Amino acid sequence: METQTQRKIIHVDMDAFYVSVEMRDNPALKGLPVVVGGSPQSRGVVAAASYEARRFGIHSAMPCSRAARLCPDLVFLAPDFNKYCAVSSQIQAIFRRYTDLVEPLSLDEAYLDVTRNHMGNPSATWIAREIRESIRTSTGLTASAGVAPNKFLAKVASEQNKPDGLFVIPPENVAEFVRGLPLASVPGIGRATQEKLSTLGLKTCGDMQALQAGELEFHFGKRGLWFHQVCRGIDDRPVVSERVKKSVSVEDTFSRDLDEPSQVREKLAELCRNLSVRLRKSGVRGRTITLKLRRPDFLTITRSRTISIYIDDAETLYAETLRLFQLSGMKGEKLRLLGVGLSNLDNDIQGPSGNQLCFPWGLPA
Amino acid sequence: MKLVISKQTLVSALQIITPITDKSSSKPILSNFLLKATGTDSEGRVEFSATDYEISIQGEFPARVEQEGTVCISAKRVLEICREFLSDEVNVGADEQLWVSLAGGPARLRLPSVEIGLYPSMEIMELPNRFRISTTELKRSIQLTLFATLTTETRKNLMGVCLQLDSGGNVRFVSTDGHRLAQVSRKVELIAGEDPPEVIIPRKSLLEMQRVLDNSEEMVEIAFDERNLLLTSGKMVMTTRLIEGKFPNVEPVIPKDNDKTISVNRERVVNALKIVSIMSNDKIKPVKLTLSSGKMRLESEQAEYGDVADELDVEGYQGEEMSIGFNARYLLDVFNEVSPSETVEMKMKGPLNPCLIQIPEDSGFLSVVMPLRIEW
Repeated sequence: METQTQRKIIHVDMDAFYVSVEMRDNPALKGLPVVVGGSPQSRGVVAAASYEARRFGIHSAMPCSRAARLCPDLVFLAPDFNKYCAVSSQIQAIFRRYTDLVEPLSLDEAYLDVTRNHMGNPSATWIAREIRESIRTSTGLTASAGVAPNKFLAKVASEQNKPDGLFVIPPENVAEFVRGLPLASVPGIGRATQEKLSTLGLKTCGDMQALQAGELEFHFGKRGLWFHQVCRGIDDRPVVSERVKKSVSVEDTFSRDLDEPSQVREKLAELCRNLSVRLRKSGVRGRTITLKLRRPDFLTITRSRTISIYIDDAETLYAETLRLFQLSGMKGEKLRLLGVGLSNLDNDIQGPSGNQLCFPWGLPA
Repeated sequence: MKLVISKQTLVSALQIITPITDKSSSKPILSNFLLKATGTDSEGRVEFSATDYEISIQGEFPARVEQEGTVCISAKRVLEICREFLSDEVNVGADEQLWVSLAGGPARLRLPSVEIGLYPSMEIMELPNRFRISTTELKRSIQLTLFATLTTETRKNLMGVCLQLDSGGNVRFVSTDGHRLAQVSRKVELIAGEDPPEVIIPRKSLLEMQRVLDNSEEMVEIAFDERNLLLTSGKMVMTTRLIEGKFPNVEPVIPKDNDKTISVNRERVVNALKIVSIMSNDKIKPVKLTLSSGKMRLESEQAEYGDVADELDVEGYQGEEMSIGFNARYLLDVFNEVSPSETVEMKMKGPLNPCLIQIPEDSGFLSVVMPLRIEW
């Protein structure tokens, strides 16, 4: 019987990606606390924070207003996603020199399975070094990488020497490494779960290994079974290069709540146009339209409808969305967020299908 | 009630009204129709009427009436049986208990009548905008526009044909599903109408109207307001509710400066489109047309199955080779509906610009088809 080859997984994570791109393009920002996100007056959140800003306790997903209070000298930059996407494709291209098994998690983060790689290089550590070097020379940015026998450990490893670091967990060190690994470092364990774990007296993966799968399942449901695996350093998830898209959606939180029906219609039209662009970029159509509405008190509802044909055009999306809105029961309410999504996608259509062009009408300007 | 009616009259009247009688069980009363006999003997008349709330039809036909009366019975059942009667005439009778009997020779059928008061009442309205049009022209106009209406319920205002009438007696029928459009302009005899509204006639009503027109006299009259439309043909009246909503202004999307014009033989193109669409998947049937001097090549391919191509002679185009993609079904629809026209003109501009389709026989007709952006 053939034993399964030991996998070699690299997790590459760009250091403070959006901010680093901005600093590279504007060296005057170097050394300053910088965040990319909304303005401090807005209700936006921090998308990325420089390491200088992080010293003030600022982290991504924090409301910009709060970040401004923590650091009065904080520099706020508006995100330029086109630029980040361009850099991201450069990085992806570097990954693909080594392997086709690249699973991007976002613009700045990816898993690579280099067990078999194009270079025939037996050392994942060498590959990780080369990748970090290539990223530095071709983009001027730094990346951290983790090398390990599976995705979970690779991701944890890339955090170890961040920023601009490399950390390797060879198979023979896995048992020892996880035993001392604080549970707080396990991806997916947030503050709430941490609190629950500490009431159970659990601080490290080693502590958790003492518990039966059933006990963990009792406390954490399905996630408990996952914990039972990862606290032993086991993770069988494969690196999936092409994720099949399940849905495409766009949403927007407004700086001022919408209360006029005409404003809502305008915003919905805009979202539908953006969604249509994204659908066409990915070459998919769908037939389930979902509308998401959020009131200022954060009451959020979604309404969906499935139609008989696959669509990707803004006009039909808008017509359907408007109908959902009219039936939503939120008509006339103030709204702080609107979202439109399309699922039930046709991404398995074979052959040249083409894009049926539409007459350009039906949308308010 | 007692009367004798020709089997042919009875069957054709029922063939017109049966499709609108509701087969769904939610409103069982709507599966029936009203049959009302008035007058006596040679002066006798029978009125058939049915409604599904959206569409109502009333028609009066001659009959020998021995005793006046009204019954309300299942349209489908009466049609199915009367169609099979071997006799030329059908005897219809009803007793006090409202049992209705229909007899064609020795064969006879007995049905219970529904309480006539339960059937929704139908009124014939006086509507302000009226014009007369020949039955043939109206039928043709419906045929030339119905195909481009939207059939899925994504946008209600496109699920019908828009009727536009001006005070000069110019009438226009327009339809579109967002990807293609069809338009027919006709001159009609205006009877009344000052600033008539633009209205949308539901697809379903037009299908029914076609049946009524198949049994119509030479000329028919159409009357309408914002909500209802009434078609009168001799002793037959069809009323339909209209779609509430605004029809898009199609004028800006009708190309004015398409300079790549070709004339093609209609049947030859239909044949070529059928050949190439065999290779396409069911949802959309992409076909690539490539124009070069005097020739048009049609191609389609599907990774799993193979590829297919056909080539035909065209008149008119002299210039650089140009390729443009279409959903073959959209082209087939127009080319089929404009039958029996021998020649079809296609006017194009570029691979992403709308294509104008016209026929020499009928300058009032035009169709516009948006291309399919194909990446081959």
